[in-house]
Amino acid sequence: MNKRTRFVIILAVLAVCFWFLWPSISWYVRTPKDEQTLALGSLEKIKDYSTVKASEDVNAIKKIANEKSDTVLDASYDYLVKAAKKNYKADNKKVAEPMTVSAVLGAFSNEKELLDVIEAKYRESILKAKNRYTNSVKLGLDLSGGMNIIVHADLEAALAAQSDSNAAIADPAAFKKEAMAQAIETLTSRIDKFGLSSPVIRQQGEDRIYIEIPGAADGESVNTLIMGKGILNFRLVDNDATDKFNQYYQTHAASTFNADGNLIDPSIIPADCEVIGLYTKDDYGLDERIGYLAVKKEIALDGKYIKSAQVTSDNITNRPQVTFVLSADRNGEELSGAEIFANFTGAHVGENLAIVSDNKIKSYARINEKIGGGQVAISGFSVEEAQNLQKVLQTAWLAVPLEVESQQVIGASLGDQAIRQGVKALIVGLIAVLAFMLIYYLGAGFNAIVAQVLNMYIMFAILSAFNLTLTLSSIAGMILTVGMSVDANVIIFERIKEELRSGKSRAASIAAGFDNAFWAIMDSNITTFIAAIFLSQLGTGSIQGFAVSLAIGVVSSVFTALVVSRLMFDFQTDVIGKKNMSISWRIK
Amino acid sequence: MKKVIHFSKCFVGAVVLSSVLIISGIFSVVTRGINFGLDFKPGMIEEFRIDPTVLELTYNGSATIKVDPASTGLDLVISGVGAENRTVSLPYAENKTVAELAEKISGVEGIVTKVLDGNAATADGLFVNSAVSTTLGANPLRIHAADESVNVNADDVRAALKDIEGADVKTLGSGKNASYQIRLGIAEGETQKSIQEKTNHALSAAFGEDKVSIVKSDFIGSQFSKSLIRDSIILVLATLVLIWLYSTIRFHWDFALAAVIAIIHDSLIMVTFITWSQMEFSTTTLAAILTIIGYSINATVVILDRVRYNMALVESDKFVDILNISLSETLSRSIITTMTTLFAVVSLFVFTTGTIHDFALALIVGLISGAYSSIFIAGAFIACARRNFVNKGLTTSKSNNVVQFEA
Repeated sequence: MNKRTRFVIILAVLAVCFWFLWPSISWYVRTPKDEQTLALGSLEKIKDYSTVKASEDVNAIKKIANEKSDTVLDASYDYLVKAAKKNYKADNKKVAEPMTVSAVLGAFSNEKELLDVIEAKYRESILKAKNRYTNSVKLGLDLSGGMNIIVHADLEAALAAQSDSNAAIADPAAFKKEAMAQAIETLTSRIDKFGLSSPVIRQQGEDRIYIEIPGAADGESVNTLIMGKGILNFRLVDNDATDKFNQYYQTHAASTFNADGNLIDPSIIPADCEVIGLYTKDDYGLDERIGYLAVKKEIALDGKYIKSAQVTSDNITNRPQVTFVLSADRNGEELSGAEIFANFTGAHVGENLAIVSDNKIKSYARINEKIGGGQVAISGFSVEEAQNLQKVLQTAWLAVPLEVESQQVIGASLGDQAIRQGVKALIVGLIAVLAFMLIYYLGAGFNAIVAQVLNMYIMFAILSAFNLTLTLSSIAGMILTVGMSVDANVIIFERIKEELRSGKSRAASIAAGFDNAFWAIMDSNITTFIAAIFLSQLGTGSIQGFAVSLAIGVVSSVFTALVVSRLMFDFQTDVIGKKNMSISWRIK
Repeated sequence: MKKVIHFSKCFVGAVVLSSVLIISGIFSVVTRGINFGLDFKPGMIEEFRIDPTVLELTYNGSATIKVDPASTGLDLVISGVGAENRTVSLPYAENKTVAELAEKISGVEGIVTKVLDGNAATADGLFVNSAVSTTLGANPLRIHAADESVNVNADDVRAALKDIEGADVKTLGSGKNASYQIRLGIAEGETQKSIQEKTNHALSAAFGEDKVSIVKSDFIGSQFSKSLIRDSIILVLATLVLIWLYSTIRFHWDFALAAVIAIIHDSLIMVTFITWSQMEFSTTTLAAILTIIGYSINATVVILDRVRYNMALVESDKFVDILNISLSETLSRSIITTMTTLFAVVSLFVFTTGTIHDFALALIVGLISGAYSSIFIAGAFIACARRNFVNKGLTTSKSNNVVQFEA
């Protein structure tokens, strides 16, 4: 390959690397912390934020318009002016010049349309930041601080409990899979509710769940969250209180709830009620809040009485419905589930009953008549909604015992300290290695330095490209790679020196040196790579982070030593026209 | 041609030395055992500090306010609805005492500050308990500052935990930055929750709930531990087999075996060091051993590559001559590479603390052992395997010119 092609290849690699690195740079350096916090919050929080902000803006604009309708909006509203112009053009109307407030408002047919445009703008800017985070290098818990938990799900126990109460399970493997999926979903929904920043929840192996919560989290409440049994119950909806609350919420959206999600002013609803969000599944299967209901604090029926739930279709209308069976057995209590429900529905015909699971209202329905006998049917929704509700109801009896197998809490200040130590060690180690190369190999050492710096750059870019997590052990892996990747340069330089000693010219020595060193470098790096890849696949935690950065380092150091450093030598020979070689104090 | 060093003369001595070291290591493993870390020996390790609360913060607005104490300053990150979104940075350099800091904090709407020790200096950094949320709410968030007057030592902690069986207490750091580490095994039927609650109650009772702040805490259950040990052993063995397979394809079987023997030697030397020094053996230490496996094979392969290259070049019918020449030629490479890697690892050793510090120490031992074994141990094995060596290249091309003295 000629020099120009090689140069273009190197430039292309560096450009691609920069493209990979950019999200990380813009997230860690250019995004302010408060924007980071917003972007890391749950989608529900982002939605709330944009809605509230948008309505504030609409009010502000309306105020300006009322005071002086011919003012021109300042630059922060440029996007709105643009949207207004677009609307005028779409309607084939003349675009007013200059765009005054009233002209902007006139472009939107109603307030809702204006609100949507502003809300979209807020939401998009946060989602863009969230996207940057998704595409950047993540900091591991040992660097950011936080908590990780591995939970073991006792599927055997869950299976045994099932076999006792119902007929034998036909397919235990499928049952386990379903139970596991349910356990993960329940945990996800509970942790999400908690409003923690970007938690990671994933299945590990057959029966383990890995949970990672970056930043500071309250250990005790996370524990209760995990160990706590699913709380499912039926509660009466208070329609008057709901209306009163909604009225208040419309005017005080920004100051209704405090950070913990409790009402700042509890007096807006009766003392025996509480406000709970009403949720439905969105297109991605995630919980989406569609409103609030005020429900009685008193529990009408506890979920423990539910024996089974099924999706069926109505005999007459053939529409989907969910039917569930309540226990008729008193089990030593005063009343059985079926009796409690019969009494309650008898007393509240015509009112609404909400199904509350883990502090979310999953559904509510009107009580049409007194329901005796313990057979309950709820209808009035699509098949999908019915299936979702059935899953909610089954949490009542399909409980998988969870046990914390490992838990790690690392203080944020400790992470801060670890970053400083790691970076310091990295910089000092790098400088020591580079200084040595320059002193020992003189001019050739400079090539090694360039190769080494590019090596670090490529390593960070690859980490970023695969959205890998940076931990202290992966920094250790990088530092070790620095030491080891110098090896490739050393092998080549020592070879070139030998060739020079045997009397060859500069160009011939370089060519022979690189050719003879090629297989030594490839063989040694391939063996290291085998070990590293193997470790990264099978190892866990710190081993994995270390192995991944070692594997990346091996690849990028071979590239920089064989391609970048070679090109620099050739460039110095052919273009600058160097005749002799500066590679050793003894060989001139 | 460089001067040839007769490495082969030292082969016997090297093998004896290594054998003695490794046997002493095995002896030490049997008698003293290995100081297994939490990964391999289930239980709980908790590190905490005992320092007074200097400031309490509460908040009852609708925004999310996170407190982020770093080494150089304290940040208040305000986001969400109901407040202007911003990050308030309060560097300790500008806010030398807690009173000054509290005044600035109370400037943020809705935050209520309760100063408990306004004169406390902020220069040494403020910190919070790691096991609580740093989002402000109705429950006060306690902010601690290092205090020299706190006079607690490991014995006091032991006394506080006297009701808990098998608690092992260590002091980390010294002076006002001291922290304490407790290590507990898990008894039958205990869970992470019960063990943690028990310990934290005992500590709060002895030192006051407002003084104890957890720095880090690790819990590993017995089942998890068991699967980790099994996986680790499989991991090491499988790595060895893979490396051997690749080297067999690239070289001759006896070369490959020499390389594998050299890395087994390095792993054993490291285990010897670990048991002698009673360093904690954790997954990180395991990673160090695996690194050295990768590193040492690198060094050995470079030498073997040179031996193969020289077999066609050197006119000698004694294999040790070829070996000595190859080792001499690659010696400067071996030394320089080991040195540069040592620069990097020593830098890790000097600047870090905790597990990475131990990791670096184990690597230093492994690096030196790796450089040594790639020359002497791998060399000794090949010299032994090829003692009946006939240089084929030599006999075919040069046989006509050989003057024969014997009949």
